[in-house]
Amino acid sequence: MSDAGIVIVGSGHAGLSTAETLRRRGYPGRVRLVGDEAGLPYQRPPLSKQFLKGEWDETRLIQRNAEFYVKHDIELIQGHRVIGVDPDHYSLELDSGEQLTWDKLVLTTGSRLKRLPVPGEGAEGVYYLRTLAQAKALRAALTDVTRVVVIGGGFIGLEATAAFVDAGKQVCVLNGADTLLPRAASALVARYMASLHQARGVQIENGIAVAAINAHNGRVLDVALQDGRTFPADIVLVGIGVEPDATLAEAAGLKCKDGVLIDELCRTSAPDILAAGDCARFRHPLYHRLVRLESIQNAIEQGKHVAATLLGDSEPYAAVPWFWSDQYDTKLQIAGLADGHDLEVIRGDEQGGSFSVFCYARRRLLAVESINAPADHMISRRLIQSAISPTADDAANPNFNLRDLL
Amino acid sequence: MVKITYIEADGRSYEIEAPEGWSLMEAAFHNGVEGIEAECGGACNCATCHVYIDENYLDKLPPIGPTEEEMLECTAAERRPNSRLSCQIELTAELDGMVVDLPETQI
Ligand SMILES: Cc1cc2nc3c(=O)[nH]c(=O)nc-3n(C[C@H](O)[C@H](O)[C@H](O)COP(=O)(O)OP(=O)(O)OC[C@H]3O[C@@H](n4cnc5c(N)ncnc54)[C@H](O)[C@@H]3O)c2cc1C
Ligand code: FES
Repeated sequence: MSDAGIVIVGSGHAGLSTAETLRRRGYPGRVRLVGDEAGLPYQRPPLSKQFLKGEWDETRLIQRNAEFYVKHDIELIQGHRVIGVDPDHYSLELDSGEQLTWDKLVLTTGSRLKRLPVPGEGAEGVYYLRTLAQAKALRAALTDVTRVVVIGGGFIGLEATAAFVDAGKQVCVLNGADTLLPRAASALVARYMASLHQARGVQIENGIAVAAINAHNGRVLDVALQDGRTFPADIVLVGIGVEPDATLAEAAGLKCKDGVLIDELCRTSAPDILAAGDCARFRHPLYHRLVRLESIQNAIEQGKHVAATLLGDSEPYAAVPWFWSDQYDTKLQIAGLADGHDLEVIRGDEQGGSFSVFCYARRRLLAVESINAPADHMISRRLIQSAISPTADDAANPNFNLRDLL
Repeated sequence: MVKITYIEADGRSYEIEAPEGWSLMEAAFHNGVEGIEAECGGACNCATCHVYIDENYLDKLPPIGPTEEEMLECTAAERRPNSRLSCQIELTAELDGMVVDLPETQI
């Protein structure tokens, strides 16, 4: 092995977790973390929450301070994009033209936004939300607008909607699917979240198709639907999802399938190249199928796994996926993956705003979505991890203590 | 600025100064205190920012809210009478000089 050490591409949550874990666990070689965003690595979740609401300033988003990287000898190469990887020669090229060599390469390139493929999408006043730079632009634009149209009924669109409403804006959500949170939540939770927003005056239009964003003098005017309706907008936020950023991996000839394919130790199809986080797809041992997760939990834990594999001390990755979303005063927490469920069982009090939905497939517990019920969430994670499925009757019975099953 | 001392389960300690208004978790996290994981970044969703508070300061802290109460029941290390989730504690001048012990594990 040379002294080139480990190079990590992408300084988001997974990349930073990898670098930190390498140092915590005593990796003695060189660690370089390359990222194309400027500044110190920061947290994404607050961008659509505390930051957008104006509750947090930029410094609170920063993950670790500058001294941390010096102290742990993590070389940060920020503001540079990796434009090509050569697996045969163990090298990569930065957009500055500089070449770096590596002994082991870690791809943590995350996701990139899906753009809305309609005319007018590039008009002034149309925003997307993935990066700090985008969040800053959106936050700044909010000061003198009243009408906001949000395109997309996923988590980011809805969290931003809550922030807009709190700031006194009039918000309309145009959602292509028939329910909110189409891939991510059960029908019950989707309906509950819709009612939360509607109770605050948000207009929600499901099952729509956007035809164009109309602009006047280059500035957005309204959003036109294919059914002929138009929705006036001072600004538009597009949140129609992301796709894995596997550009580098694909170009380098690594096996990809809607994401970089990795095995249970986070290794790609190329020797000495690993991957983690939003960009990676893997077979989840609890669900027996290929999954790609877009969550902090997965980014951090897979990053730790990559580090363990690099240190020759890894176990197959089998962590229960979990996720959260905060909207208004409501806390939604999801343990597991609900796709393919055939039964939804409610535990708790839906009217009272504190309940969980247990999602089963053929009597097996797949996922639990909790609304303002954090203890249910924490216990559910452990149930799913241990492959324990309470009966539907026990799950629905508030007097049955789920902990007794553990 | 508020000065806090964090003591890891293995005895290593960090003296950290952070602005009022930040949380007890953030002050530690920014400075790379290892015994605090804070996976959810302070959203009271993960219980991996569990700490044991110096008894002398317990009554200077905001009361435990309902979400924190439920999450504290699910910490990886044992819950003690002085257990708190550090992301739910805002730093104030009153907390200057506080010593915080970190649990053996957060996960
Ligand atoms: C607004 C918002 C709110 C969210 N809220 C939540 C939440 O509440 N809970 C939750 O669990 N998840 C949430 N998520 C999702 C979560 O942030 C992601 O799952 C997580 O960031 C994934 O981490 P990652 O490291 O895989 O990718 P990222 O964080 O996307 O990091 C990848 C980094 O790599 C960089 N990069 C890509 N290609 C290159 C290249 N060629 N050269 C150099 N750098 C490159 C990218 O610019 C980026 O900085 C949210 C996401 C957003 C955008
Ligand atoms: S940081 Fe997650 S609960 Fe405190």
